[in-house]
Amino acid sequence: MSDRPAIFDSGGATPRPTRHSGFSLRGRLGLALILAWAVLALLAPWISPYDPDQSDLAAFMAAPSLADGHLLGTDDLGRDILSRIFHGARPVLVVAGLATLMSVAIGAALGIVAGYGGRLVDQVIARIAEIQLTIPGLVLALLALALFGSRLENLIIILALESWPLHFRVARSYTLNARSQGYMEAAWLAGVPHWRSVLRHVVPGLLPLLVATSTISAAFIVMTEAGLSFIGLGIQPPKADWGLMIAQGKAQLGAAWWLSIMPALALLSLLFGVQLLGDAVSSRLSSLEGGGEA
Amino acid sequence: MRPLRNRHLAADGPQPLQAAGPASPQVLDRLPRRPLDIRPSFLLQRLAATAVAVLGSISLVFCLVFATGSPATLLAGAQASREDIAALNALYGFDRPIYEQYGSFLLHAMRGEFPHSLRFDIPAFEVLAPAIPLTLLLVSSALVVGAVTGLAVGHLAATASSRLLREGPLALLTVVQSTPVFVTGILAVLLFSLTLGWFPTGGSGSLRHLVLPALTLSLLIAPPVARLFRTSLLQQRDKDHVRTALSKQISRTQVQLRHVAVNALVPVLALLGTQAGSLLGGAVLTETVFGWPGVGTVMVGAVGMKDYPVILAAVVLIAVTVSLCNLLADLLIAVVDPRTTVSR
Repeated sequence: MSDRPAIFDSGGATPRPTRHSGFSLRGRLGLALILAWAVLALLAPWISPYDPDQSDLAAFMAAPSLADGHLLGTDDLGRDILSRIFHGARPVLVVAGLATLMSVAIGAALGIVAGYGGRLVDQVIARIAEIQLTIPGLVLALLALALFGSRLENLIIILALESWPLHFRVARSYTLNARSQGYMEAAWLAGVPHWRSVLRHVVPGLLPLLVATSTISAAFIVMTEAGLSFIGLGIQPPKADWGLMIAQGKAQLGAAWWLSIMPALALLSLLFGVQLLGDAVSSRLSSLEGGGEA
Repeated sequence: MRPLRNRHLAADGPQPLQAAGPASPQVLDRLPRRPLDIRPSFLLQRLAATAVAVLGSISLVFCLVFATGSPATLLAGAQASREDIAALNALYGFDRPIYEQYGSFLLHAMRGEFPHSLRFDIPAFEVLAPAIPLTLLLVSSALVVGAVTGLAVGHLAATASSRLLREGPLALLTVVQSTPVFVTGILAVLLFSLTLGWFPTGGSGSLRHLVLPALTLSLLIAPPVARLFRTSLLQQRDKDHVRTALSKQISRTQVQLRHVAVNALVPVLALLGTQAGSLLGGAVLTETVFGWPGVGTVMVGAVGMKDYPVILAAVVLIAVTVSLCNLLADLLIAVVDPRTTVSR
């Protein structure tokens, strides 16, 4: 931008005096949002004011109010929306947590293998990742769930299998880079077996990068899980799930907006938290590495 | 006289060849002469990559179908008679060895031939055919609106003089990006259809029906375009040829348009190519929200009725479309910026 000569910039300031201790405020806010939802989901049976599946015959589609006990109103079957939102956080968080962990594990393992193995292995895995990306994630998940049934474990496996290419690419390039470093050659010359030098020299440096990519995956998985449930392929009724609740309330949008909007707000707050955390993690990473290759 | 020289300057823009010392005549020979002259080897390479992607995605679909255990009963339907299954086996060879099944599936899928729809008893592709133009209309209008919005916001973010204009719209788009498409759609329906009554809540048939779905889907593509265009503009602005043009007393707007913006568009084109997949995936959700009778709605309906041939046909159709979009983007970039074909 400004073409000031470099002399003026060296005013005694260190290159990057930004937050070295802990997270930025935004990151902490994001983490707090996610943890809050995790706690609410965990404690759902105890903190929910009503049974999430119980119809309140006196209150069908009651509007949100502080007065009559249904804080966020009830749905068209008279079920308490707040209780359903608490319980609906469970499938979202379980799917997002497990699928993200699985995808990171698969992607990292394949990435290290591709970075370490020969050209052929590398090419084959990279092609598979590329082919997978030609079918949009939601469409591929839709096909797989239609074929194998909408069970929770299928949902987790499919979303994990869809998200690994990102981690794969990061792990592969990091491994390729690490392999050419002197310490790896030294380890090899000293007769250290490959798997041990991977564990000692590749994995520790790779982990922070994978934390950053896993927040991206988690956001994608939360969105896709909600999208699939919205279409009717994810969590099946009568279970409570945010995407499903949004879909069920859609028909009543004109008469009772809170049916869809309340779970939508819950979903948005979780996604917002994930994004804030992800931004904080990656900006911290790039500040630690001095803006080098990230 | 002057504009002509400007264009010449802009055309060879950021010059990697000169930066590396005087270009050898050989390298210059390899550069395409005319703007529309795409090198055959580059074309072949891209075509081959597209073919691999198409074959690969059809193979992936086959693997999934085969992994269910009994493709024939799946595709013939639960109430199929023994004869139905035998007929399907005769046609697709689901009783023969797996490599023959694979070959037969591949050949049929490439020709768009899938078993008959279980619901309508016509070829699966004919169920989809009437929906294709509607999805194309939705996606292409979303692409245009999204790209224009993204470019405008990106341009503002890079050049506006007030801080509010630089950061406000971009921040807004960033928030939009973490909103799932179907939530945006529902909010749009609530605000513009139910509260304000400007547009119908769903369906198709007129231009007014198209507005909300297209706007919703366009919000999927606008944020990444805006951010990339901003970065790209800022990079181009510091290039040598821009400084040269400015020092020649060419007006700032001229330089901004001819030398900065045009060159900054190239990475955006590449991005649009890679976004085809997410746009089509988003279209499935958008169509469901608005009851837009496109491919996505047909596919979701088929899922509900366990009409597997139609689902397969739709998935293959989408995969082929995505591959073709990627190819188109690559070729477009090669036309706009011929250097990309040399460096590979």
